[in-house]
Amino acid sequence: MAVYERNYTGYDGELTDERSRFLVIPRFAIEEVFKSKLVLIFFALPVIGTLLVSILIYLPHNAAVLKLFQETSGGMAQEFFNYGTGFFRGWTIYPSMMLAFIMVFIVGPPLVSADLRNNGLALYMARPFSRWEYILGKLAVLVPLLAAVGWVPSMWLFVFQSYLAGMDWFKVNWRIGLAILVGQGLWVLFLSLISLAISAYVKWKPVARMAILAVLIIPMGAAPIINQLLDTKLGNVINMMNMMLTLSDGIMGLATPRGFPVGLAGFALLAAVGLALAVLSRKLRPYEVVG
Amino acid sequence: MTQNIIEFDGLGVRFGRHEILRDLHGKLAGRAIGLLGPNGAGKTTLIHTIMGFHPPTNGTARVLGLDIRTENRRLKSRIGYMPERDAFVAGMTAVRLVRLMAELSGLGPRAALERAHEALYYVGLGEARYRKLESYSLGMKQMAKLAQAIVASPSLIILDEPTNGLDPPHRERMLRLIKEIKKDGDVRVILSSHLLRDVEEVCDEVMILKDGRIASTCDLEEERRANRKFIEIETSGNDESFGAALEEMGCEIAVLSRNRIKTVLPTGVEIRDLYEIAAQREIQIRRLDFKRNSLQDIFLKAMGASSGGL
Repeated sequence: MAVYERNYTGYDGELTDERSRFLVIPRFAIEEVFKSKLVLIFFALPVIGTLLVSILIYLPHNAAVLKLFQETSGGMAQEFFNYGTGFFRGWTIYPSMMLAFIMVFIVGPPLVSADLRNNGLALYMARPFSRWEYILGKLAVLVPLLAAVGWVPSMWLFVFQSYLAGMDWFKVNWRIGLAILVGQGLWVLFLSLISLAISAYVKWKPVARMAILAVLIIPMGAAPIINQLLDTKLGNVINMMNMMLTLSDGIMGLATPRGFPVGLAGFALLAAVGLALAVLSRKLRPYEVVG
Repeated sequence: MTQNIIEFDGLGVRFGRHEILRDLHGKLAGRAIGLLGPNGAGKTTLIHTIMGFHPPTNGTARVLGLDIRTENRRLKSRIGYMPERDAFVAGMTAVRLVRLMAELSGLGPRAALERAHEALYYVGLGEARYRKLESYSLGMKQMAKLAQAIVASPSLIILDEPTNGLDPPHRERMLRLIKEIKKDGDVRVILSSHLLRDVEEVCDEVMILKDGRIASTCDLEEERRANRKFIEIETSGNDESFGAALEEMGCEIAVLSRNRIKTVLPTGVEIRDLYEIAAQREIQIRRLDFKRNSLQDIFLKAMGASSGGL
């Protein structure tokens, strides 16, 4: 039927599988996300960073470069090219964590607030589509994006180093891979859910961004004050960045800051994930009943 | 046999201590059902409950034969819903929103895009379909909401106050579209409104809600047929004898005031007979109007009956 004919006609074509309909959301959202130049820049940053660190990892495996470096550094090459937990913590895990945070700061709030600001959620929920499918759809936008700037480059660098350094290095340092897998995975999930929950709560993009900053940055300053005042180390549980690093350090077998228990750090992150889900469950409703 | 569109089975909805819908019972089978009631009667809550937005506290209802408690997902795949309030996704063009909604209803990307264009042309937004929804006027937003409701070809379209805030031309257009959609053999319509004229124009069955209860249900088509010889007469002269003479002829009468009589003519009695009786009794008929019970009468009667006044 030509589009200019103004007749109401029924549709009797095939319908898509209900189980995969949540994937409609990321398909529409990703198009919107990449219209932003800022997102493109932040997407390019980890690619450039990963390339540079890959070169750094490759250098000691190139005989000519290694020889040149040994001659000029006066025997410091061995120490410089000792890629272990410290190297990966400083050059991959921490930068990836920050990049994922910046990415969620840019991409997260518009995803939900655009739907909630003008009661758009009622249109989603009026279809055979549940709140949990909606959340799954939004996670299907955020998780791959955050993983692409954090988890994937980190994992690539670990695999690349394992490949070049051989099985002996891998046997000693396999915990780095585990820390990236678990720690960064949990960080991506935490950031995604917390940004969705905050956006669902405040429903306004600029305020949601400020709130995300506040939730993650303010505790960095507040946690030491609580620790000092109460003479405890439990104040750290409100500092999610610290919890993430504690978890990663613990998995890698490093000493955690102030000897904070690794299990408690993991629990704090999971509790935050649970809290975010509870907020989403409460706030993602087509209509709020004010009683 | 006509299929019931809605069957209530003791449906009740409560928000905290407030009982919004109370023990609804009954069946509605019209092609277009009007939901009427004063503000706060529970019309929108009823629609939200049908849509699964609020769980029923007691009882249940079946819509298109599907239980709203246990088969809500299947039910929603057959319903197109136009909400009362503004509802759109910020930053989206109309065609993109309608396409998104079509895909969420199960249409493939290609079919969804095609249907989105068709739906927007159908509601008269063809030329504006690439504009962002924020830039639309109120009337255009209402039309866009209608487009997203019909895009996936639902069996039942629920329209919550579709003419709210529309100027007369837009209102006419909206009602014409609803009537056109209703003409399609497969589509049923539920229209919630507080505007009696809208409901009267579009619907053939009405449910009137008051304080969360069904105050009255009415088959408008039946009413129209039954009241086709309902006449209001204004006379001058001996009115009592005129009224008595009408009763003798088998007419049902109701004396409205000293000079005004309402009557329903039985089969076989014509208007000419009234003039003849009047002439015999030297009574002047000053005015004679064919009337039927308007929806307003039915509505006011329902409001009065349930409150015991008016």
